Amino acid sequence: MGEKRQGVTRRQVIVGAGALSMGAVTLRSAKAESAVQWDHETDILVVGSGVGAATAAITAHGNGDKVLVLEKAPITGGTSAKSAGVLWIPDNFTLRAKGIEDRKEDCLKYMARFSYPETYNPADPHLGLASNEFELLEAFYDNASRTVDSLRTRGALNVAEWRMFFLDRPATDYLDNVPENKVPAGRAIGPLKEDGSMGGGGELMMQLNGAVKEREIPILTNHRAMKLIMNQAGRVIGVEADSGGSTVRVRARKAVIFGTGGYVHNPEFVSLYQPSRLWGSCAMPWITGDFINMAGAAGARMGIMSSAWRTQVVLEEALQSSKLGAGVFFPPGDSMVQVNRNGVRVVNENRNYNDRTAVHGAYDPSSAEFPNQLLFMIYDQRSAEAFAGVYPIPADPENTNHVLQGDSVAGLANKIDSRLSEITAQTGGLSLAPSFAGNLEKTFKRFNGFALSGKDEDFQRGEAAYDSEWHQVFSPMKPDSGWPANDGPSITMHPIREEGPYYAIILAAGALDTCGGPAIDASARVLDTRDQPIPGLYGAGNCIASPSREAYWGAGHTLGLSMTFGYIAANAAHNEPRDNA
Amino acid sequence: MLVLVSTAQAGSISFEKDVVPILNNYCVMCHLPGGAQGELSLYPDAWSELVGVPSKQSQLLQVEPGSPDRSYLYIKLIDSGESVGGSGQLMPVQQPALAPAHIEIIRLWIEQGAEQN
Repeated sequence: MGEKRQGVTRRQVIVGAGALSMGAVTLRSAKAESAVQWDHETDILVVGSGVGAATAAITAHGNGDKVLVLEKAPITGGTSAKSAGVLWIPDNFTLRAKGIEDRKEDCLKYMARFSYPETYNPADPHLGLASNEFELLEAFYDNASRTVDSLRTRGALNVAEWRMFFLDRPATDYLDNVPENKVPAGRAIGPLKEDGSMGGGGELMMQLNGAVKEREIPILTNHRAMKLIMNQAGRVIGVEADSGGSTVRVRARKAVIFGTGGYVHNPEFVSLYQPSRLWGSCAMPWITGDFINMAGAAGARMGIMSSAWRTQVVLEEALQSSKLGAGVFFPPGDSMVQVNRNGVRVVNENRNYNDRTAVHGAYDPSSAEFPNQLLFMIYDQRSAEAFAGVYPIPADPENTNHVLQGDSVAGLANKIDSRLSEITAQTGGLSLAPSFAGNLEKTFKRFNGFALSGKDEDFQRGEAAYDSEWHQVFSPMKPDSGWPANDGPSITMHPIREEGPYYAIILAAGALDTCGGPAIDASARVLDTRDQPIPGLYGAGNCIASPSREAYWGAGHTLGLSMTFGYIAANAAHNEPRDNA
Repeated sequence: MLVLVSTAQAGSISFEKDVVPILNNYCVMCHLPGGAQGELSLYPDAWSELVGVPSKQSQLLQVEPGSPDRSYLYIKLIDSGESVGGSGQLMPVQQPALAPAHIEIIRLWIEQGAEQN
């Protein structure tokens, strides 16, 4: 039993963070360069095999460049394969087919307004952004639909408008309710399966990496890039990789393109760079930010490091393992609120996962603490039964270890208190404030008033189209629950019952992945500390400082950015001088 | 996929040729050593982790040869697992369900004895 393996040994699968020797090697002379024993030679070396890397590989091959792919993991696809597979592409072919004009000047304003709200100035030629910040947004807009069109033309991608499941309408953007968003729905596209139905990340990466394989581009799995190799002129000319303890050197005559992940599973980097604690992530387990030290050793300037694609996670699951299957992308239930340790609401529970989760990091200078580090998703019997089985509300509340139950508000508060006491060593002593139960009673009353009036005077829950539409998608009522449909003025809110039982799920901040790292320019070239490109080094995806900073423009945002900058990188790298030395 | 469907229709299912590609494309990303959801690792040796092995979430085996309806793997592809005392969500988690042709391949493989062929 177990003789047949899917290509590798178990030992090879487990790839840890580790304080391994990562960095750069500079060859000080032409003689030293000619003495290097290369195991492989190519024009463009792509590191990683997620959406950005695969796009770069296909594009480079289409340009006539010889390409080779290094992948750290035993399987290809990266976190992209685990995603929903959606791509946020402005001015995409489905919009154009419907005659919807997604104009550059309008879309740039939306992106700038969302990514840089503190400096956004519509009267400024750069919309209030620094030149490089503006140019990155411009490069994205100019190339996003071209990228998709190119991949479709090459037969590498079969996509269609991504529609919101049973609502059967185009996906609404994550900030639809600002005047700058002139096309608030329809920028999301997704991969089609052969049967014509919409697929997810597995389908997307099967298409793209299938195209890589069809082109006979070598993919070396279980090869972890460790060092950049630079010549005496400061050009990146290759990579040194580790494969099962052996060193493998790959020469790149034109360029090396990194399309790897962020650093979310590297506890040291998370502690150093994130503004507050991340308890877990659904990124692939080997996502440890390897590019940061390599690029840094090559002289790269770091861009924003603190950004992440955030999502709430179930604390009890994160305590079992920080490597999670999924986050709480949308909390289900209408008779449901989220409160902090003081028993008060602190956020619109129906906002998008990235923005909603940021509230966990709020600091209270008066008490010198992070009062929202844990939030408590509290709901009544209606939501427990009407939304049973919609993650994270379990199908059976008695048969789960992440739901706390109390017959009354005070009883539930006691249950939460007891559970926090049990896990105090893992949370750093987080506890409820003495006022929690009393405040929670008041929170219920205030929220119930909002539910009856349809107007959330504190956090505007349900006012944006995003809130109500994605609520319907991710919070469908069970038709046989016995509870009446929500016929109130806002489908997102229903009065919480005056009698128990009540339920609580403890939520914490997590991330799909981080998106901080070396800075790039509009050609995806990695920049040095003088803001000059490091010759031969490119980056796309979560391994570099996100061109959108912290903003998540809409469904498919992360993959759309990564794919587009992978395309930009491959085209720019094609024009690099070919080193035939 | 066309190859897989035609193979399934022919009635002869190979674990290595028909089932493993489905697992690798849609399942292993969440079920790898070091981050295996549901304490189920489908890589590098899925057969040994599935066939005759008790599931962690229900009373069923992950795969009971000859009995798809008593195999937790198959159940999780058609519902949340609640119907057999399990828990969690329909697989793949928070993605569209597998194509009916893929589900049928897994069902047939189990029905035919879940061999390591």
